[in-house]
Amino acid sequence: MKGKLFWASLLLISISWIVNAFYAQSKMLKEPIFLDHAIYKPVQHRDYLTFYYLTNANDDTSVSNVYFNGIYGYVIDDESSDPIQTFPHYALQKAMVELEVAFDYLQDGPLSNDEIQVTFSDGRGMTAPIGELTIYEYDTLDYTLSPKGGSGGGYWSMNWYEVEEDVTIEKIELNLSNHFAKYVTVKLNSPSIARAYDILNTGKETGIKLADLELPIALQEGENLYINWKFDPKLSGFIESSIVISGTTASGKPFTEESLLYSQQPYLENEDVLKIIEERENAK
Amino acid sequence: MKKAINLLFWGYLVVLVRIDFGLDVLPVPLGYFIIATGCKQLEKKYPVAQKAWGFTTAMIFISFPTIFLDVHQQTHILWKTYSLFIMIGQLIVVYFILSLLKDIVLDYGNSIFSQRLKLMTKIYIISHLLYFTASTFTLNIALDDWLFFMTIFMFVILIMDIIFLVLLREVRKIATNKKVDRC
Repeated sequence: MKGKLFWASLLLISISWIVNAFYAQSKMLKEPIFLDHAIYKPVQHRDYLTFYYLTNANDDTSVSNVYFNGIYGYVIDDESSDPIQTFPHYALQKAMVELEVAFDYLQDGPLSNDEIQVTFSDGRGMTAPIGELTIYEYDTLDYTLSPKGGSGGGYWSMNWYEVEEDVTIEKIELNLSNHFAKYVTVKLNSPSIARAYDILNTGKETGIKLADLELPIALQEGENLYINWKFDPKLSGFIESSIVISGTTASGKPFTEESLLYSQQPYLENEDVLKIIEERENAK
Repeated sequence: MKKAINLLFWGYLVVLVRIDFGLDVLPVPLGYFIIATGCKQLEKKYPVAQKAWGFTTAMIFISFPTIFLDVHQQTHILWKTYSLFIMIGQLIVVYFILSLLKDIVLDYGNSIFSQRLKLMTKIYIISHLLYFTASTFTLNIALDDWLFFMTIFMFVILIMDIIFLVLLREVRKIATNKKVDRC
């Protein structure tokens, strides 16, 4: 009695394996899919970029280097190539590359690309659409708005500046295309702003929305300026960019400050992954 | 008798243990060869041993690739299939040996041990069948969701193999006593 059951079970197990294997194979990606990135970054001679990409669940290779606009970026091989998230058939991986930019390479202006050449640890390569990538020359800091600190993580993030002399803020822009800008909410707060817009509280979620702020606005020496920002959780990509604040000081000198704007490491649900894959398939 | 069971014991130990120095120093095919030799010696008295010998000899050749790499750690679907395949083969070898042990113990009339053996056989086989069934579904479940569960399962399987080896030693002890005349 036991004998027949034993062999029948082995047969069923084999069939289950074959069915599962064929199903899993049908879900496999032909090549990794990089998420939608919006990177606008001032870089120095050595700087870092982070990319996120989806692979098949059984892919244990990692990025070894990237190339774009004459610049190479190498992955510093110190951490494990474990994915940051796993899904039934896919995995989300992170690649942090160290760029080597020749000293005056960016003096003629920023370099942009919407794709990068990627080489993986097993030798295979691909041209990966990555969204919007722009790098430009790192400007020495202008301390008209002096950075005092900030905090991030969680829902809202905050950058804090002290105004070093009386200024008039004339322009505030996000270094992002509309495609990405719609996922960001920016609020500004400071004593002058609070007075102008009847804001009673301070704290991360407070302030006047950027869209509602009428420019130009005057800020006074010694004021604390808070730039609060958050990202829509529906963002399934990665943003590393800045909010550009420009204006003129009381003494007539123009100034520009780039305030960091960055999203957290992407956290995806399985539906998000499937949606990304479907969109990428359709785009082809 | 004692020698034959000893061969089964050492053979299976060689199959289980993997010491990697570029190649598996205790190669699986060698283990199956030792088991097959043990089966051959028991063939005359116990017909089950012949089936065991045949299948184990086949496993010598089937398990050849395991000398060169750890097939259970590979990511390609074909290697994963092979990995499951040889694990099933290993289970079948144990199934035949357990059947053989049942006949041997019957001959030596130890009915208490017979009961224990029957129970252990059931537990061993069922746990392995469940493990294999669970493995087939890991192909379509996120790693984070099954890793913990399957790791525990693998640990259980390991314990089962140790119990099997202990069982072999005990049968060897019983087989050194006098045989019981059966009508």
